Amino acid sequence: MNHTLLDRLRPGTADCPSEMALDKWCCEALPAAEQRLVAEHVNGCEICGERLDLRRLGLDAFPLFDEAQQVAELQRRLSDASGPIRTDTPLPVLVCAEISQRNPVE
Amino acid sequence: MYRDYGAVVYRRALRLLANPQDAEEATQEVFVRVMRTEAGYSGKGELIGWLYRITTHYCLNRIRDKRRRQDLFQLHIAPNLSHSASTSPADMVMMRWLLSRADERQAQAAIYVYVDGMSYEEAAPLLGVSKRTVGNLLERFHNWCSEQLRTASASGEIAGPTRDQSQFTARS
Repeated sequence: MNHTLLDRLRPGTADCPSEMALDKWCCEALPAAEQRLVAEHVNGCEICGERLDLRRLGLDAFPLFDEAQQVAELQRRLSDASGPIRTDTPLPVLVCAEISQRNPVE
Repeated sequence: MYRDYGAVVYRRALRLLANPQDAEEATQEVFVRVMRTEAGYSGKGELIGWLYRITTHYCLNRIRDKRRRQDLFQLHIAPNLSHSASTSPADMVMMRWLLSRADERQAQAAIYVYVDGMSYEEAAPLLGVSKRTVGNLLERFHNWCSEQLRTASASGEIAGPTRDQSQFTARS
C-alpha cells in the first residue's frame, strides 16, 4: 500500500536514519562506526540534508531562548517537588509558523 | 545537560504538540523528571534515548488530555520550508486525533515508528518490549486506526481532505 497516512508521516525514506538516530548523530552520540555510516548516508541524501536544515533552523534559534532564565526555572522546579509548571516565559519564534486553518474535527 | 540536549527535547515536543508554549512546558517537565529520577545511563546515546522516552510519555499524555484536544487539532506549527523533509500539517493533525484515542502502548509504538521513523529494533528498547511485540502493537494500531477512520468518516466527524479513507488503507 503506497502513501498511507502513516507512511507519509515517516521522516525520510526507509533507508534514512530515524529522528533519534539523526539527533544522536548531531550530538556525536553514536558509536564510531554508526557515526560514519550516518554521515555517509546524510552526505548523499537530499531528504536528510533537508532534515538537517530543519534542525539547524531550530537549533540555531534555540540560543535566543533565555537559557539562564530557563535553567533558573528548572532549578526552582527541582527544589519544589510540588511546584506547578510556569508558562509565562516568552518564547522567541523558533520556526516560521504555518497555521493550518483547517478544522478536521468538528 | 539542558544546554546540550534542551534543543533536542524542545524540537521533538514542538513536532508532537505543535505549540511553542506547550513545547516549552514539555522541555521543562522532561528535564525536571530526568533530574529527579537520577537514573543511571551510560553515554550520550543512552541519555538521548531516555530523553526520547520521557518526552514521548509526557507529550502523549498532553495529546490525550481531553481538555486540550480541540486546540491540538486546530493548530499546527510547521517549519516554513516546503520540501519533502517536512511532514504535512494535515497529516500530523490527523495523527494527533488518532493518538488521543488509541491504546497508550500502541500510541507510543506508533510515535516511535511512524513519527520518529525508528526501526522496530530502535523502538523496542524504548518501549521495553521485543521487536516482535513492536510489530504486534503496530498491527493492532493500524487495524484500530482503519476502523476509527471508517467510523468517523461515515459519521461525518472527520471533515475536509482527511475524510478520504483512501489515504489510510490497511496494509496487506
